[in-house]
Amino acid sequence: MGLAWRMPDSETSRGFFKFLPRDPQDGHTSPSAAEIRQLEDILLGKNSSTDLSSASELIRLRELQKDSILNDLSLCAIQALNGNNHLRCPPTPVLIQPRVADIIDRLLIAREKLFERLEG
Amino acid sequence: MSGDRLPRPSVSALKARSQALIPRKKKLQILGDIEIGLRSLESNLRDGHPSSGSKVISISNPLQGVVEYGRLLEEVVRLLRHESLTSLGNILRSDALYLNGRNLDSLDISEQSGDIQSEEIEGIVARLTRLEEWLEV
Repeated sequence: MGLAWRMPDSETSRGFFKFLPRDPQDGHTSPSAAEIRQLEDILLGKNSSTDLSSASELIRLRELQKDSILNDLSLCAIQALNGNNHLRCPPTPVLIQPRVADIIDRLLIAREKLFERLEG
Repeated sequence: MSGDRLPRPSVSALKARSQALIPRKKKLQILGDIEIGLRSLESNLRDGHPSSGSKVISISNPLQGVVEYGRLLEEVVRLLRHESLTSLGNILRSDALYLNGRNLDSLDISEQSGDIQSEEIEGIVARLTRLEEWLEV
């Protein structure tokens, strides 16, 4: 499996980290920790640095895990307003510290560089 | 100072620009829902720890880079969840004070949890910097 599933370079922090306010989606399941650990063990045990298939699968699972945690966050934010139509969830940039906003921007750039390294 | 003349919090979950625009009955309903919401937030914050406690690895090849990226992604997303919910709770608390006509100075935000989070953020920044250095970002 290659890296064709990955999102385009134009992906923003807002989209990748599913900024609030956002409606939660049904059917989000997180991959099991055991499945992730097993793939990590395979990758860390290899002498070769070119197992693109396992690397791609691990990234896919980690990003499914990310989507599941962020979907849960959307659900928690909605529950916190208890359906009151006089309340609304402030947007993520208002909720987080500037240094956390900086971390997520930097991680998205590192992700792109990592893909370039794997494809190169 | 009259409750109606207190300034609205600069960051608020209230849609109305002023509590003076909200009828008393609705105000009580909002306060009740905020109380329920805060209990739900506390429970959800207990369920999701801000850190997965994953081990740091050295990076010398792309496969190790992928493993560290995945671990870091989980840490960052857990932090984002924790920080967003904590902040939303603080905003709802300040809105409740405002609706009750009380000064926001009485809002108690624990500094202890902030310190713990600060340590976690520093740890994440250090790991991210190592990954960036390896990737030559």
